[in-house]
Amino acid sequence: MINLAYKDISHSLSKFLITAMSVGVLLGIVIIMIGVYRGMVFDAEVLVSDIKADIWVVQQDTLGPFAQTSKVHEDLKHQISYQEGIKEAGAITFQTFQMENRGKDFKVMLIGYDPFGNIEVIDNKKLIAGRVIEKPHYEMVVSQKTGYSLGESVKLGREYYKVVGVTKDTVSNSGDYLIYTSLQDAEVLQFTYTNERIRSDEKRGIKGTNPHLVNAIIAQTKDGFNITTVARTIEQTTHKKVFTKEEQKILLLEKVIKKSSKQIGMFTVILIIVSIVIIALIIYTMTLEKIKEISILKLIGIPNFTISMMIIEETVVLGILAFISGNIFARLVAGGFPKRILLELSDAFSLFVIILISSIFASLFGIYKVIKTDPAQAIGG
Amino acid sequence: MSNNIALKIENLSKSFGKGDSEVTIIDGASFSLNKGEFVSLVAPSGTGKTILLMMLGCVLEPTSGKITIGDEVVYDNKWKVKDDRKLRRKKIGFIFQAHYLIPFLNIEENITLLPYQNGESKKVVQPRIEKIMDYLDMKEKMKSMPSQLSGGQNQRIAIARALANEPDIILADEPTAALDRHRAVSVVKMLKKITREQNVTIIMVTHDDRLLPYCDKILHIKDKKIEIEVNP
Repeated sequence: MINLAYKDISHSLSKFLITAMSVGVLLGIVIIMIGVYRGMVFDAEVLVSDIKADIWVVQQDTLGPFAQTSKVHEDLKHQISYQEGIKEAGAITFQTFQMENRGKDFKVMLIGYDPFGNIEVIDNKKLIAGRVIEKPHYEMVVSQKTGYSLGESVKLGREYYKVVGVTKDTVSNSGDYLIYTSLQDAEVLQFTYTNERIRSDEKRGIKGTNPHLVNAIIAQTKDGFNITTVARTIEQTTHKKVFTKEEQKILLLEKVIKKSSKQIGMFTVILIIVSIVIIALIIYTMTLEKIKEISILKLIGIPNFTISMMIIEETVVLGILAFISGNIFARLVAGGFPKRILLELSDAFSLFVIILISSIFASLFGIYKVIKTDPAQAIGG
Repeated sequence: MSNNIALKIENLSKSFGKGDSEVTIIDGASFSLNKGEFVSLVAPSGTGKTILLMMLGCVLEPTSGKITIGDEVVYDNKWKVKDDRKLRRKKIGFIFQAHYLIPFLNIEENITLLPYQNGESKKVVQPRIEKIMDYLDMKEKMKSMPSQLSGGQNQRIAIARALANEPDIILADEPTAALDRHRAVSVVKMLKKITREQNVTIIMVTHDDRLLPYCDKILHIKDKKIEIEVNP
């Protein structure tokens, strides 16, 4: 038995490949959009996961420190550390900066933490060069993508900071690069005002330059204690809002990136629909191009099933080739995006199944045309 | 019915429309053709040649009458065959004005498409096809694509395709229309030779009176009926 689809594709191979690659670029964009979504979800969790804290204590009635601004006094850490079930507690600050390095503009999140505390804030597995902060002042650890190198001096606020460590794959919940400094330095950078502001504040009766405020207190629980129970107890006794690590992650996913991910999700769905419509139109056009041959095939006695199989097989091959070229395209361009694009095999496989099933449905337009084609068209010229 | 009958038409009619707008194209046509006859169908444009051909090819349903191909009644006021395509695959060959070969299949594939669709094995099909191609002097072109052959060569391949399923009748719709006089005569001679040697009946629609002397019979459509003229 002669495979009509194989013969037709072989006959116009270059045209078929170009068509498949063009659809592939569109599918590649779909794959990238899914990657953007995955990257966003991954980034949202990565910082909370990297910081080895079980509990986050933030300002009362807020969803801080990521979903909402939170300010608590630094000395709250002492009160927390004495709570039942708490092993360690430390203060932490978060602040976003716009920076420039060698002509490249980028946004960073500056994290201030106690370098002498026992809670690991910088994930050691992600430290690819140098060390963590070991001095109380003027040392910083940076994300590799900031472009700063080990030993380099970087001006932050009024002071120069020495890069003592470089991390890989460290980003804030919104995908910005990270810079770590000591808590004291971070407090100065965040809460110290200019001389003019201080003088103005003094005239208004406001005293003090550094109120020792931080954005959150992080804590580790002792073994054998239920983290949620400890968190709820602290919440009742300190009049602060307390989140467990898991609650903080859920908060980030549901409050911080929910709308963005919904937007990307809808855009992805629209792109998938557009891709399917384009595949359907291509198959329909390809069928129309062969309408004379189809009428001859029908006239000489070739059954609809054989002709329809040719259409379905061509559609499936088009879908597979488009999917392969789309994946290649996505992987080639994904590295050029400023934020994380997470291309997962499971997503690619799901998209493959969707495209495969949709392609078969898309071929129904072509098959309809086959069934409707009058074999008498071949007679009479 | 005699075993020598290839096609028998009895009181065949075809009308379009209903009531006042009803138009009858063929009205009570009857004729029979023997195996191995080369017959031309001649009539002015618009008198129903193509419609008759479509009815004989089981593509268009007649309004009434009876059609028998070989020893099988295919239409008797309604279709008697369930699968008209299967009937065409097994009993009818077609040759068109242009060669209408499938452009993405090579010559061998164009010719073997129908026999393979009929479920015949390569062992059976291959010697038959080689014989036909040898007969048409086209054996060396088996692996060529239609685009690589001339118009005349492609028309010979179209004839080979029509013969490949060993049909009872071949319906040829102006097979020489696209050819020059010399090639047209050559093709008609070949068709006549085929009818004799392959024992197949060919009905050829033509407008070219110069080709009529090569035919055994001439079918004329006059006043919506078929008149048969037997060539001496």
